[in-house]
Amino acid sequence: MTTAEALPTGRVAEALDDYWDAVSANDAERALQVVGAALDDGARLSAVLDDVVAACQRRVGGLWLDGEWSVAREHAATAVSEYVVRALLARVGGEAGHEPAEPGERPSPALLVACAEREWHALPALVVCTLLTEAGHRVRFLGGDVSTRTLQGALLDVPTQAVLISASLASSLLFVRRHVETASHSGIPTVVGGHGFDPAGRRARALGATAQASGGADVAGVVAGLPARVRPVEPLTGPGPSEAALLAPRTTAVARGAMSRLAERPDAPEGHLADVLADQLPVVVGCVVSGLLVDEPDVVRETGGWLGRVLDSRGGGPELVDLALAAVRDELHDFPTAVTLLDAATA
Amino acid sequence: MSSRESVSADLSTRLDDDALTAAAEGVVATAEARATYLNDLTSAVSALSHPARGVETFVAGLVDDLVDLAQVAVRTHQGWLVAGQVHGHRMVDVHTYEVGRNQGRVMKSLLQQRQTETWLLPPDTPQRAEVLGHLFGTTELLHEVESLHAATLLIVPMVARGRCFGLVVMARRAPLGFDDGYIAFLEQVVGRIAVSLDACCVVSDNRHVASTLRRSLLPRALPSSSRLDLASYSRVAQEDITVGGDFIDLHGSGDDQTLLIGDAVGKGVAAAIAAKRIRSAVRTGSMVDRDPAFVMRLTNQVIVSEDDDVVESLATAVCARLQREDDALRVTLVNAGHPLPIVLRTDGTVQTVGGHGPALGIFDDADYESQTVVLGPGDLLLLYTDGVTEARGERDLFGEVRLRDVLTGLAGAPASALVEAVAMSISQFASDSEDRDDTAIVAVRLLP
Repeated sequence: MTTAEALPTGRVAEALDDYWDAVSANDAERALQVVGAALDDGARLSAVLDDVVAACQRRVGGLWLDGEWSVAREHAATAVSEYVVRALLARVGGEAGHEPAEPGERPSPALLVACAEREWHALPALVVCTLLTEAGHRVRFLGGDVSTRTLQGALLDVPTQAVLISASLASSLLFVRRHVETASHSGIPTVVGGHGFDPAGRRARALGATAQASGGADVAGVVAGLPARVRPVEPLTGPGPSEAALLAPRTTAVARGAMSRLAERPDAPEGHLADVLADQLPVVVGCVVSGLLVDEPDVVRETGGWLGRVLDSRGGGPELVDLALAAVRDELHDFPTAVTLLDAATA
Repeated sequence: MSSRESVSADLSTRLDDDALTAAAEGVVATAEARATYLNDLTSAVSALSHPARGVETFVAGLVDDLVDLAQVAVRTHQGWLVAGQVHGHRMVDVHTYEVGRNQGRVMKSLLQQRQTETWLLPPDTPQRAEVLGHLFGTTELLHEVESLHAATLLIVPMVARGRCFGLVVMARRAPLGFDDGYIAFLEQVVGRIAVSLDACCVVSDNRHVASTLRRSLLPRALPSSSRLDLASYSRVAQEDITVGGDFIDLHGSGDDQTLLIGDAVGKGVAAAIAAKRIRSAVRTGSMVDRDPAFVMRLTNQVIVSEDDDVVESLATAVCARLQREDDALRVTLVNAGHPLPIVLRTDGTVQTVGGHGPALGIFDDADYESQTVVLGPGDLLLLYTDGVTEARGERDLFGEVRLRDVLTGLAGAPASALVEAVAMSISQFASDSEDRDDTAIVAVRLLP
């Protein structure tokens, strides 16, 4: 694994094909054998993670988006890749969990990697853990769906150099902000990353994160440039953040209300399409919360485009997204700033 | 730079020497400025963190704002936590700081004296090196401090709740020294720091106890040779104390093992201790006879005989014996008042298995019957506690129907996929994450 030679392109393509076959057959052992063989042939760990595992995962996500795969099948495939990356993490000497050091053992400073609360996409965070461990860092992975209390506890158990927060969904920004607050109030810098953020780092700055990593490849460099200590983040003030705080606990209720409004229509979505829409509306409302928090209509605009792709592939016409967003808007009558944001996003 | 800014400024930035002196002078210039500094310090030290992190933070703060050398040393159950820094040099952090034996002796005797001391440093003689060695051991600080040409060292004890548990050593570059006013001010600063570090140490020690208990309640990693794919998930209701009453255990030899899942009544440490007792009884019984009916009978008798208070000893559990047979796994189950285990076949069939025996800790003569189910390659057995089915949504509980819905379509997937899918569904379903019961899930699958 120490060799710097990348695999020839053909070999990576071959590994990707074999890996894809194993993943789509739910065969975790075979998937691990495929990447193990590629590593033994001299592939760099980062190349395997990026060009094989992550590439495969993008395909899985695309198949779900386009309605060709069920949620269950996507879960199963993702679990195979998680199994593989956990095995690779163990191979480079890493460990998951945040158990404190044994008595008598002097604790060495660690990087804590955590997903935002209610974020279950652990795979990107696991990839980051693996690359940082390989680069010589002591890394602790707190898992998916990390609550504020779990993070607080981990900061007490391990002397922490920085907290790395992963968010794959733009609807998670409020929960990212809570981790930023928890860490910064103990003086600890934060690095955010994942598809929930914009490449320019605008959302990360608005949330008060110390830095943003654009991907697994540059995260080690970002960590190296962090200050040792930061000051507590200032509270987010203004009508947007205030409404975000009020709206967040009502996310499920607003989504359900919007669904009821849609159901009253003569052209109401039915069956599988209705189930998918009901599953996705809380994410849409979550994105409104995020948009309010960072004052950015783009968060909502993006989720609209993505919802369109999901619904379109499941037989929903192009007008269904507009109807769904209008139904959400009608449910937000007590949230004027949210309505303004939604209007700006759909204009 | 005003005193307010200098306290709260990013502590990693380094002031140059003149600015440092100016900052220190500004801080101590007036009574009002000092009071402001102490106020800001109090709000800055109120956040709890790991004691090592706390020690390093205060070293950086002192060196940035008040003195040219600061060393903070705390004596804990685990030994000394020490960090120190000379202005303009890198910090010697807790992880790298080695306390010498002689140095440890000197610092311990200073703790006992618990008084502020001003040490006049002898000029450039062997004695000077010896005195510095008493406080800085063999660390780089020993040499870096010489660049200050300091004439005195100030040693202030850290006292909290009537106990002296640490020392702060400080120096200023020549010709600056410590007059009485400045000493009194630094004593106040150290007093605030002491209260904060004391709290960090108390919390850290208590969490260590809870974490040790928690670790003993989770299964160890399976040996990879066993051809079993096992995954588990556990979440405790009272996250800040990190323990709960749900437990999972796996023991035995490679092809004859006992898998246990259970739920002791209540939450927190009391429930965790009850859980630990049940686990031990099951382990002991299994060494005599691995038959789950025998093990649960014996465990029940142990629990009933140990406790007078029925409510405190009440628990539910499933005990499963896993026996390898060529290309199959024979599972013999006993259920003591627990939610029924589920078998998910590779063809997508979902069935519940196990009988309905009484919960543990109620009847001293409770009897248990076992049931047997055979898993083929890829088939999976899911055990869980009622935190899964009784997760509270806005309108109803999660329930078995939703659980089956989650499992359908995941046939043949790795155990970790099942466990995570279930955990994720409950999390999304639960309306209030602060109002959750202890939850444990374990899945075992015979690798194809």
